[in-house]
Amino acid sequence: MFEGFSFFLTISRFSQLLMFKGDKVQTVLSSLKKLGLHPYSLGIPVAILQPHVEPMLPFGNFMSPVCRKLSLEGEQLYTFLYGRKIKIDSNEPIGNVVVTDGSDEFVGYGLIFQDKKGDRGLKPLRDLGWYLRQGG
Amino acid sequence: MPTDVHNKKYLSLFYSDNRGEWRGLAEKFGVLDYMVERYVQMLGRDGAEMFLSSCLIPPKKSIRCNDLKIDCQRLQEVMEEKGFKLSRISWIPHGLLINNAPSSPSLGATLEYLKGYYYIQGLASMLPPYALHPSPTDTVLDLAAAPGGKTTYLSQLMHNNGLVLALEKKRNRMRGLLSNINRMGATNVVLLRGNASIAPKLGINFDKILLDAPCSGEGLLGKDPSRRTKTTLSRLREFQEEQMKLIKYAALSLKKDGLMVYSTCSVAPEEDEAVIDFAVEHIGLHVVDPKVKVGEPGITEFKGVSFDPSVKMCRRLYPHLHGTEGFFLCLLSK
Repeated sequence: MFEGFSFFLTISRFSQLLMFKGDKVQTVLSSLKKLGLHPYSLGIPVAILQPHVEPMLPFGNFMSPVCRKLSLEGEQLYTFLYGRKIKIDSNEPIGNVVVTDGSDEFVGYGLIFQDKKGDRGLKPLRDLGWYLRQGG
Repeated sequence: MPTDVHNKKYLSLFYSDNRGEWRGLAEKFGVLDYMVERYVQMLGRDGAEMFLSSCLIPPKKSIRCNDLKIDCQRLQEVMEEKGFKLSRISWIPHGLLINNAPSSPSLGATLEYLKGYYYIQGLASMLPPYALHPSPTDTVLDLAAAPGGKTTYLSQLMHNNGLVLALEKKRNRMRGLLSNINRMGATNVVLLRGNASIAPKLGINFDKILLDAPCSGEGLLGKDPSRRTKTTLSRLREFQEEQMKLIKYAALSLKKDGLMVYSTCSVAPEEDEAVIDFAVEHIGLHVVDPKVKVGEPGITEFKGVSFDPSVKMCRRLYPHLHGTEGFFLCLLSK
């Protein structure tokens, strides 16, 4: 799954793990370092590390095949993408899930919770609807 | 290579002999007098009128299919199921023209857009990365990278291999650029905030460079009506000076025999052929046939200034002739 990727750790106020595909990145990073420059980003962000470890959206496609998933379709999917809580099947165990669409493709991360009435709900943690709401 | 000395050759480009001759046309189309004068010189009176008429309506929207994430035929089917009517474009393999769109969802609010299956992009804007023919082993520099349409197309054409160094000067454009890179699944991009003058200092000899230069946007009169009166002749000259600086920095960063695409979303020869002429005459670059199957040849003489004959190989796109935004593209080698 990660063939050809290199991983990079950035240590700063917003420490994060990044991954880059290709073998030329070290040359560029060395050149930047000589000038005292740092890249704004490289490759795709895997996770932020502080204040706690949290996977980033572009890494979702890599999480999806190996993590617990919940598939949404239709109105429920769009409500989730608009950043709102939705009701789900009461048999779903509480905890974090990768949320996918009807094509089994990643659309966000969610937290399954139980409300005061004992019903199960799904709360978006990070979702691709960010593009939808803020115009990319 | 100080640009202020060499661009004296181009000073007469910024002199307007306008005596109100074109005021009628200028008022009819809501543009500045000097602009009409130039369009008539470039296209003839009838051509200028057709050009200006075509600028009254925005060009049809188009999208670029991201085959890093989806097969283009499949994307077309999925979008048609949602009520969009799309057609392929013969001269740009990943371009899809939107012939009809449903009232909802809008192009930017589909699940497919969120998943990075496509990028909303003008057809002509897809040409510079395509004409550069980046290979999966190349190290490519994208100067002035925001908002990321061309950067992500470079990644796509390189199958997410090699490396794209995307340089962007403006802080407020970085977030949008990064989100587009992430959305499109481009994993081979190093994003750097900084001025183009950094590029030669890096000491990297880039295989290929894309310079889509900041410009007056005179090719976007249909899309953005504010451009009709925004650019004075003196502002146009400032753009040219900036473009000459940028092409100089780009040339210094390019390896020997490397390729560079210079493009603008402008039809102004001052920002197009004049800059290429400067690059040929004073930087030593050579114009190469971009082998794109669209566009008119570059202009070799304008307002009494003769440009290097090789600028004919550059391509100009006009809304009334090609159904695109007004655009200029030139492939250069070092």
